[in-house]
Amino acid sequence: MRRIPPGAVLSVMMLLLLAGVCAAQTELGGLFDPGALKPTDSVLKVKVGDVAPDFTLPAITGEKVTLSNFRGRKNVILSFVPAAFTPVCSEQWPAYNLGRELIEAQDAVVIGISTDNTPAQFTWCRSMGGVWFPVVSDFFPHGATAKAYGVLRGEGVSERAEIIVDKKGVIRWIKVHDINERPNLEILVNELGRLEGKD
Amino acid sequence: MSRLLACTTLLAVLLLAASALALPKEGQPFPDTRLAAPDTQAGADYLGLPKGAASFRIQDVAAPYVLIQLFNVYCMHCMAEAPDMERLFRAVGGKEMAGKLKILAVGMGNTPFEVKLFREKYALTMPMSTDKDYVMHSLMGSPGTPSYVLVRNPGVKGGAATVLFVQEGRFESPEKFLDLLKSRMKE
Repeated sequence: MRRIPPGAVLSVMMLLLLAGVCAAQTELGGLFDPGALKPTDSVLKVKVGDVAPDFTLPAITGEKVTLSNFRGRKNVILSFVPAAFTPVCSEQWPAYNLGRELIEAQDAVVIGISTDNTPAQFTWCRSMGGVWFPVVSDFFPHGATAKAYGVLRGEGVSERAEIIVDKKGVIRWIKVHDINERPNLEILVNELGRLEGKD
Repeated sequence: MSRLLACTTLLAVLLLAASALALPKEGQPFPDTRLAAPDTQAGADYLGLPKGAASFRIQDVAAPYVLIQLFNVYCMHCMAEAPDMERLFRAVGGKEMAGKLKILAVGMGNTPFEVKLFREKYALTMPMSTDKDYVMHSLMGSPGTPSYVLVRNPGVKGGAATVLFVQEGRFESPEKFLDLLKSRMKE
C-alpha cells in the first residue's frame, strides 16, 4: 500500500479548515465581524436638559442635514452607530424600518450617524434594502459630531448611542449602549411615548 | 514529524469546531428544547397546544410533520420573504396538507414586542414564537436567517422528532418549496 505523504494530509486539512471558515463567514451574510469589543469607550459631554450641539453633515442623498432645521417641526432620534457593514449595526437600522410607524406616530424622525464616509454608507444602506431616514456622515473632520456629544471611541468610531432631541432642540434621553448589543426598539419607542406625554 | 502531527491535530480540532457551526444533519434527532408559546391563541390552537401553556416542545405539535422557520425580524431577507411565508402558510392550510404539516416561525434573539411588530407589518397569520436569548439558535448551530428545518414527529409519546430536511437561506418560491417539502415527507 502506498504511503500518503504527511504534507498532503496537512494540505487537505488546511483546505477543509478554510472551507469551514468560509462557511462560517457566509453565515454573517458577508459582513465584517469585529468580534467582542470594549462595551463603551468614551465620556459623554452632554446631559439630559442640554441644548443638543448643532451639526450640519452630508447625507447619502447628496444633501446636507442640519439638526436645528428640525426645531419646531420634529422630535429627533440621533442614532450613532460604530460602523457600516458590521453585524449589529446592520440589524439596528433595519429595526427603525420595522418601527417606522411607531416612531412617526410620536412625530419623530431618525438621523443615522456614523464616522464612515458617504460612499460606504450609501452602499451599506442599499445592501440593507434602504432606510427611510436620513443617514449622515461624520467622516470629516473625523468624528467631530460624535466628539461634541462625547460618544467618539478611542479607535475613531462612534459609540452605539441613541439620543432623543425634542422639538425645542433639547436633549430628553440619552442611552449609550454596549457596542456589542443591538438596542431594544421597545425601550426607544417607550421613551418617545414619554416625551410626547411631557409636552 | 512530531511538529507536523501536532499541526494536523490542531487543524483537525479547529475543523471540527467549524463544522459544529451548522444546522443539524438530516436523520439526526431535533434538539430537545422548549420554545416559548406562540404569540397568539390562534397560533397555539393551530399547533394543538394545551390552553395556557407557556412553552412547548416540537413533539407537542399535533401534526406528523412540522416546518420550523428560524428568522429574525431585522433580517432583510426575512423581511423580503415574509409575504412568501404567508403564501406558504396558506397553501399548507389547504385540504391536501391540513393536519399533516404545520408551520411555525421562531424569532432568533427577538422579543414578543418585535415579533408582534413584524406580524403586523407583514400581515402574517402563522404561529410565531420567540427565542429571545438565542438558546434554540445556538442548539441549531447558530445558522444565518432565514433557515428552515423540516421534522417528522415521533408516533409515540416520549420519542424525539427527526430532522428530515434543512435549508439555510431563502426559498425560490412557495410553490416550489412546498413541492420540495412534500417530496421529503414521502421519503
